[in-house]
Amino acid sequence: MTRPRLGHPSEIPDPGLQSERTYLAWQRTGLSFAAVGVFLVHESGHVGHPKHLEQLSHLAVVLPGILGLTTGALIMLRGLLRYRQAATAALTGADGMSAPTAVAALAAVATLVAVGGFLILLTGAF
Amino acid sequence: MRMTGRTSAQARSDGHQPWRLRWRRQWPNAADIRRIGSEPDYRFTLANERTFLAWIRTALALLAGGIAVVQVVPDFGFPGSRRVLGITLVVTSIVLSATSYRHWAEVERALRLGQPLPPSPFPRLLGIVITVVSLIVLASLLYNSGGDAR
Repeated sequence: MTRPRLGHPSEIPDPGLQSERTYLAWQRTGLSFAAVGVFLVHESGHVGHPKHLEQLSHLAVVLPGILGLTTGALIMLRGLLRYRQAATAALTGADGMSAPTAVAALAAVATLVAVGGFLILLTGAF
Repeated sequence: MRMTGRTSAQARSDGHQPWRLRWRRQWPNAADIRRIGSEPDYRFTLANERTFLAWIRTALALLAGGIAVVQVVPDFGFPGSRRVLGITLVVTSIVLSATSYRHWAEVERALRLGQPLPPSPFPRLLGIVITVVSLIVLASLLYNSGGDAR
């Protein structure tokens, strides 16, 4: 028995569209991270008074945004891999799809980005 | 109530667990999770994952909104209103993203044990925060239009 080759999310093997919906959810999340990252990098330019900002601390202010951008790219890649797993599960009926490590990592990065944004807010606006 | 959806025997035993066990239960690692019950239907797993992602996106939207209101939106309302709004939104974003894994794990646990899904305080929390923020914006706009005769 040859297993169908699963390459692209346009191939939809299950009637509930699980694989496609999950793929799109990851892509949306990746795009959100990238957009927030760009926004944070942009806003970090307005932070504080340049006189008081050493180069190092300016780098620190840009970091949350860079983190968001990088995470966005990784998440979109992950979405494609996840699509392949989900489509395979749909075809073979295999369970055991949960990915605690990816979920934990994503939650941790989101928290870091949010805390970084909070610090930008505190240092920049007042 | 936290205990809704579990048997009273479990609820009682939870009450006697030392905090470290409770912590481990609420924040399980991958190996802890794989030891619980049996693998759920892959569709449920993916539904839980998508819900988690939706909460993460919500947290990101609150973060962007919070920073935008302080740094992009022009001054409006009473002094400090943008500050209050921005901090409220960003703190909510931090709370949502910091607790999102815990909620995902609770749901995963219930799925693996075939139990009812645990209740979540977040829809209510988010509803309250957005309502309060909207009311502050409304109050600010009214304050503004009352302040000068435009």
